[in-house]
Amino acid sequence: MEADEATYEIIFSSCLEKLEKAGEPEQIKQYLMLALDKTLGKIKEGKLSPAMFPLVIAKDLKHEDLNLAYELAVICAFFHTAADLTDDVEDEAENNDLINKAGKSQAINLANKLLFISQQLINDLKIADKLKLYLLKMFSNTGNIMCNGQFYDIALTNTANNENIQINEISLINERKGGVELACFFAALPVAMDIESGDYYKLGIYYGALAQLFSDYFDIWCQPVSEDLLVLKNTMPVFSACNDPVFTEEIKTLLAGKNDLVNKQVILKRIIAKTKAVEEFEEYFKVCSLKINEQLQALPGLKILEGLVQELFNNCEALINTLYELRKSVAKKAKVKIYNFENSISMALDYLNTDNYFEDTWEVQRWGFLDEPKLIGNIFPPALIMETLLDAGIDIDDSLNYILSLKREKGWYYFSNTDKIPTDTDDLGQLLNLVGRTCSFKSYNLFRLPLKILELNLEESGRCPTWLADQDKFQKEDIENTWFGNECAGVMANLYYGLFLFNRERYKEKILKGIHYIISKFDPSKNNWTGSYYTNYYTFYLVSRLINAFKPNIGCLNLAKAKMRGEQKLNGSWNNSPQDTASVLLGLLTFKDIDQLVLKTGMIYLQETQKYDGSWEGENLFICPGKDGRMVYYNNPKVSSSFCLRALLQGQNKLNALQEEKREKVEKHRPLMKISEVQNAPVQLIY
Amino acid sequence: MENLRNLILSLALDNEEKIEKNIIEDETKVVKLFAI
Repeated sequence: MEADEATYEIIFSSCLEKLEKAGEPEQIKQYLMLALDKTLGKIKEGKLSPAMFPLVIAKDLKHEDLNLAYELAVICAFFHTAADLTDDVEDEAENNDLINKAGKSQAINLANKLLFISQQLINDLKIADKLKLYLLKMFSNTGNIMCNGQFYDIALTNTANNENIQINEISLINERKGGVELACFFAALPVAMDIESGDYYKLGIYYGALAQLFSDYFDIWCQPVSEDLLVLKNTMPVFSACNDPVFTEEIKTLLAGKNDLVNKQVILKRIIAKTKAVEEFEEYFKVCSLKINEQLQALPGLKILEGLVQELFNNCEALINTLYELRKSVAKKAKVKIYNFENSISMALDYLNTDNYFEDTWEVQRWGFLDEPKLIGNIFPPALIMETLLDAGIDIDDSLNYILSLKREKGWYYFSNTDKIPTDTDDLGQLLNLVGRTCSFKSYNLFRLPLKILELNLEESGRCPTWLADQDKFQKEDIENTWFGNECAGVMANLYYGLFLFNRERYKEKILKGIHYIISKFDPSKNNWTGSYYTNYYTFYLVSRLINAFKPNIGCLNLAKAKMRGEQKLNGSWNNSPQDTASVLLGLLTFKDIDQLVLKTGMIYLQETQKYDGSWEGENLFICPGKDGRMVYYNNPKVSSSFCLRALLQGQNKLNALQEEKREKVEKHRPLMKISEVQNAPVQLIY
Repeated sequence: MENLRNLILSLALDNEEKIEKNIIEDETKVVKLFAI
């Protein structure tokens, strides 16, 4: 189509006139026109706007009076703009002028308004009431179906596990979005004129679906940075590539992490062109073009529409042929990227490894909690970090001795400078963990009384309360009635794991009881444990490492594992969160077997979300008291980073071990070489 | 159609540095279509 300034002006002015006639306030009118201009501006650029189709059909039917067609074009413009604006909010589009000016909440509100206005405008048409009703019914039905299409579009974005979804369900999304919208716009004029509209509607569905599909492929290969790849929309090319058995591992590994760099996008363009994504498009195009041609035969004489159809066919063929050509060109260009996490690990260690007793992680309450001017929580957060440093082989003696020295008479208190709270099992469990692992025998005496108090609190059922009654200042009943979160699966698991590392033989029976109690608290409706303090991802880690250390292959734990595995996103993360990703990876690593692709893609996500100073963003970890009694979350970048580092350390060890296993298998089955051959053989790196 | 072919191949095959410098400003000059 040629640029059509005149048509643009007519429709644009008509939209404005409608709003002015309705008495819309100035600011609202400006925002609505800004949104509408995204739809209509295409017309003056020579692009085809969806709003144009009533006019196209009117001209094809050689109507002299185009007024009704223009009125319908305005209605289509309002309707399409409403859908497009909502789509941009849902996709978190960065280039939508209205969203950038008015914000997302207002954009959603104005999208609804645009939709309601389109309905009012149908009612204002100068046609018979029954025809208005038919139009209202058709537009409502269209919007309804489009919402279903959008539902699956959103649900499938950034999802990794699509084994149960078939390719035709992906193409159905296109039919439910672009297809039905154009079907409605194609059929609008015939319905308004009370002529048979069925064939126009069908033509619109096939044409719209094919145009939507072309747009999805265009997005990947015809833009320097594909927005669909940025957010990992499961459009047909992405879905097909991920489900091509020859390329699944390669594609999923590449899609892990962030896709915002041009370099990575170039590699993705090349690799996806090698997959059956191209064949799927070709197949769909063949089927769709046949159906479109059949419909055109049922509607002879629509010359302009035939021209638009031919243009779309030409574009599709050109794109398909070029992708085959690209495939041949990149056949020998493929680079196999070796993922190396050493630098990430080293950066994170440097960030974490300070000698100030991790003062920047202390939870300091200054607002008068417990009527104290200042409470210092300087044991638990540093102890979490120290656990990671132990994994890295770093000497933690100084830091550990410091927190051990904070012991008061009965043991260690979360706020080390007060005994107004009971001692707790989370701090105790964490310290048992560190002392057990470092075999700090000289410190064992320090635990005599705290462990005695613990044993008095452990119940026969295996239940371990969070807060410990000392039979002196704090009594059991008072604690149960007064203190928050006295039962938490995560805290219990941490305590029992600490006992396991400290002295598994002496505490074996107690630990087993504890495990049974924790298992009894499994929530089958969530396939996980619910704790009072921690996120479900961190709780999964704490429970997994305890149970797998003692009694592997427990049914409910396997269910939790399967659920976690199923929630991994296409970018390798859980919940788009580095800390949650680290927690799940750490939990999965406690099982005998871990899917290498799950591990690798999770680690890539961690690597790519690491910041330039070696840290990760701080994320909420456990509930703590906020000002004036509010419940808030403890959140510290050093502690969150320590979990991410821990996952990379343990993950790297696992990958190295798997690589070693693979190498040994290869060696075992390799035929014996002569001495001279062995000396000259190249070193083969297998990843 | 030649424009579409050139666009796809240049974005996927040209070296990465060149792609960052030659920003494609307006794909509408290359292919006339509408976004749904």
